[in-house]
Amino acid sequence: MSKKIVIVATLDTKSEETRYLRERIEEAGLETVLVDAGVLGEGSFPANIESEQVAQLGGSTLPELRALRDEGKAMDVMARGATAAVQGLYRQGRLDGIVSLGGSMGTSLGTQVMRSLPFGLPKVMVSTMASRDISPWIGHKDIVMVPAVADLSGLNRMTKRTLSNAAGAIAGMVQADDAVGGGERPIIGMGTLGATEACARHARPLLESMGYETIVFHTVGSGGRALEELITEGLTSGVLEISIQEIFGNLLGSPYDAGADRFENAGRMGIPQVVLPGNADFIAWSPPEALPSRYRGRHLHMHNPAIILVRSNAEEMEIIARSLAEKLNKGKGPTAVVVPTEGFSDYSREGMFFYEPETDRVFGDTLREAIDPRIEVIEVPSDINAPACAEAMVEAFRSLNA
Amino acid sequence: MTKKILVLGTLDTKGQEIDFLRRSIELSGCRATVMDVGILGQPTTEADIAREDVARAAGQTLEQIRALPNRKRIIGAMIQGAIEKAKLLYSSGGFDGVIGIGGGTGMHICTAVMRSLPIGVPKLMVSSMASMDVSEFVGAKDITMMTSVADLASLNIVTSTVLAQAAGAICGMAGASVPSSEPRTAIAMTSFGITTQCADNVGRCLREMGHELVVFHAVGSGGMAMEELTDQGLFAGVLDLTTHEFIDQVAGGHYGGVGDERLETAGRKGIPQVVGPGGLDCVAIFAPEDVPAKFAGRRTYYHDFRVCVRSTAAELAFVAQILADKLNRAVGPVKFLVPLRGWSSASRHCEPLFDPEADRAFVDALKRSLKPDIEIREIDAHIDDLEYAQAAVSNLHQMMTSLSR
Repeated sequence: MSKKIVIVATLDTKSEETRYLRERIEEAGLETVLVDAGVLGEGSFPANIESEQVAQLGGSTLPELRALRDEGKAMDVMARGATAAVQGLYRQGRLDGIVSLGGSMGTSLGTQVMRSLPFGLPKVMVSTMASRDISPWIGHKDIVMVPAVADLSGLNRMTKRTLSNAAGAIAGMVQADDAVGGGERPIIGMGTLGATEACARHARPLLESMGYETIVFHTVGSGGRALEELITEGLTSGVLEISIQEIFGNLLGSPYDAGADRFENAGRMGIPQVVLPGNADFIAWSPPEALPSRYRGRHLHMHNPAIILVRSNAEEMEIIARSLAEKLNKGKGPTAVVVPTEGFSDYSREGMFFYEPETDRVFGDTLREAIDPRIEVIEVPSDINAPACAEAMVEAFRSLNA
Repeated sequence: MTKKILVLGTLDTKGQEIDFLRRSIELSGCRATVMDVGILGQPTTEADIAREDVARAAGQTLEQIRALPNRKRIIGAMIQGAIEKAKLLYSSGGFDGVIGIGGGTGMHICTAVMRSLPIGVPKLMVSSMASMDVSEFVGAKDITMMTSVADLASLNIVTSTVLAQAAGAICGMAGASVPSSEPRTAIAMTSFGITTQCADNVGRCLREMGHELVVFHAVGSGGMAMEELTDQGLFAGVLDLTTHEFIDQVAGGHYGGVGDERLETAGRKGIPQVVGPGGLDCVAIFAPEDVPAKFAGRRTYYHDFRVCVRSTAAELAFVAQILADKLNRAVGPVKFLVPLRGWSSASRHCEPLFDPEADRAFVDALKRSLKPDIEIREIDAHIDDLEYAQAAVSNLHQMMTSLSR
C-alpha cells in the first residue's frame, strides 16, 4: 500500500507552489492528502480537506474569520483547525508523513500542526524562515527545516528546485528502512555536553552490559527539554544527568535554557536518577557579542567563534547548587548526586584554563547543606571525565535500583 | 544511474553512527562516500577519504594540524582541507548530495564545507544543535537542518530512526528531478513584507514578456543569496528595488546582516540592474520591547509583531552615499528608480511613516553622489503601484536588449 503524505498549505497564497509540490510527491509514488488552511481567498484548485472545514474544526467559519480583519488571529484558529484535521487523519492511519510550505505565517501554522505529532513521524517544513533561529518553530520536535533560498512566490528554477528537494526528502524519509528497529531493552536517558562527553562515553558500555539502552541528549536547552519530555512520556527507566549547565540558562538568562522544570520530571515520575555537576564550572553564552556587560572583567574563554564561556565564580556555584537541591528535594524517586572534586568539565581539570578547585568546592558545600538527607551525595576524587567518575556514577545508579 | 552521496563526519567520535548512515544510504539505493573530518582521536571505522588526505589538501600533515596552537586554528585548517576535497570531488561529478552529522563542532565543520558548494546541490545537516539559531551555519545557502533530537552518541531507538530518515531524505533529495520546461530568461528581484505588492506587480509584467522572476527576501540572508546566485550567472537582469537592508545596517535595524558584496555583484559582472529605495523609509525592529531608546519620538508602524521605525533625512543621506559608492563601481548599466509617493506600504500617504521631506534628502544626496552615467528616474507613483513596477521592468528590459545588440 502506498504511503500517505499530508500537505498543509494555504491555497489562497500558495496554490501554484502547493500544486507543484504535490505533483512531485505523487511522482515519487506516494499518495497525498491536502489540507487547505488559507483564510483570505480561494485556492485555484480543491483540497481534500477544504479551508471551510478547517475553520469549523478550529471553532469558527471562514466568513467570521475574514470579518476579523486580523490575519494573526485568523491564522491561530486555522492552525487549531488544521491540527485537529491532521490528528484525525493520523488516527485513521491516513498519515505517514507531513510536509508544509510557507513564509512566516505559513511556517508558524505548519510547524504548530507538526509539533502535535509524535517523534519519528517524518515532518518537513519548507520555509523562508529556516535560515535563522528555528527554535520557535521546531521546539524539541524532529521537524526538518528546508530553507527556501528564494521566496516561495511563484514557480521559477529556484523555487522548483527547493520544492523538488523537499518532495524528495519527505518521500525518502517515509520510505526509509529503519535498519535497526526498536529494542526491548529498558532505556536510560543521559544529558551531557562536549566538555563532559567522556563521562557518558565511559558509562555507556557499563550500562549496556547491565542490559540498558542509552539515549544521550545534548544539554543546550532543546536537548534538555527533549529529555524531560522522554521522561514525562514514561519512556525512560532511569536518568543520568551529567550536565547541569541549563540551570544557568534558566536562572541567569544565558541562551541554553531548558525551562523551569528541568531536572524535576524524573523526581516527579519517581524513576531513579543520578546527577553530576557537569559544566557548572562555566556559563556558556552565544553569540559572544551578546555577553552582558556584567561579565566584563571575568575569566572568559572563547570556545569557538559562536560561543564564549564565563568561568563561574563562588556565588554562581552557590546559586546552581541551591537550585539543584531544591529541584531534587521535590522529587519522590530514588536520587543520588555524584560530585567529582577535580573538575566539573574538561576545562576545569588540573592544568586547564578553568582549573579552580576552591570555587568548585562551594558547590559540594552548598549542596550538602541544602539537600534532603535522603539524597546521598557521593564525592569522587577525580575529574568528571575520568573513568573512575563514570564508574562511581553507574555504581550509584545500580544501588538506587537495588 | 545510482546517485552518490558525500557523507561528512568525525570518525573518532561518530564512527558507529556513520557506519549506520552509510548502510542506510545504501539500503535507499544510493552510494555513500565517507569523508573523515575528525582530527583528534582514532577513527573507529574506515573512511573513503581519510583524515590524513583531508589534512594534506590543506597543505599540511595531520600531525602539523594537531600541533597548531589553538582549537580554532586546528578546526580552521581541517575545514580548509575538507572544502578543497569536497569541491574537487564535486567538480568531477563525485556526488549528487551531501549529508553531515555532528554535535556543535561537527556542525561547524560540516556546514562550512556545505556552504562552499553551489545552491541547488542537496545538503542535509543532522545535529543536536539543529534546533536553535542556525543563521551562522546556513548562511545564504540551502542547507536543510534536521535535529537529531537525542545526541548522536550511540545508536538507539531515537538516533537510529533519525539517521535512517536522514538517509532517506538525502537520497530522496539527490534523486528528485525538476521537470524541465522551456528555457526562460530569469530575473532576480528583492522584496520584503511591506513591498510585497511590488513583487506581485513585477511578476505579472515579466510573465507577459515570457520571463521568470525569482524573488529574494531582503532580510540579510535573502539579499546575500541573490548576490551569490547572480555571481553564478543565473540571472539576465536584477531588480534590486528593496534595498532596505542598508538602512538597517546604518541605523541598527534587524535585517542589516549583509556582506560587502551586497549590491555589487550585478555591477561587477556587467549585468543590467534597476535599483530602488524600497523599505529605506523604515528601520525594522524585531519586537516592540526591543525598540532602542535612541528612536524615542520617531513615528512607528506595526507590521505584525515587528515594528518599523521611520528613518531620518540624515540617515538616508548617509545610505545614499553608500549605495552610490557601490553602484558607481558597476561596469554594467544601472538605473535608479525612485517612486515619489512612498517606498513601502508603511509610508503611503496617510500611513504613519509618510515623510516626503526625508525621502527628498535621500534623492538629493543620491543625485550628488551617483556618477553621471547612472540615470535617476523619479516616478510619480507609490512603490506598490503597477506604474512603478511597469517602469522598473521596461527600464530593465531596455538595458537588457541594448546590451544584447
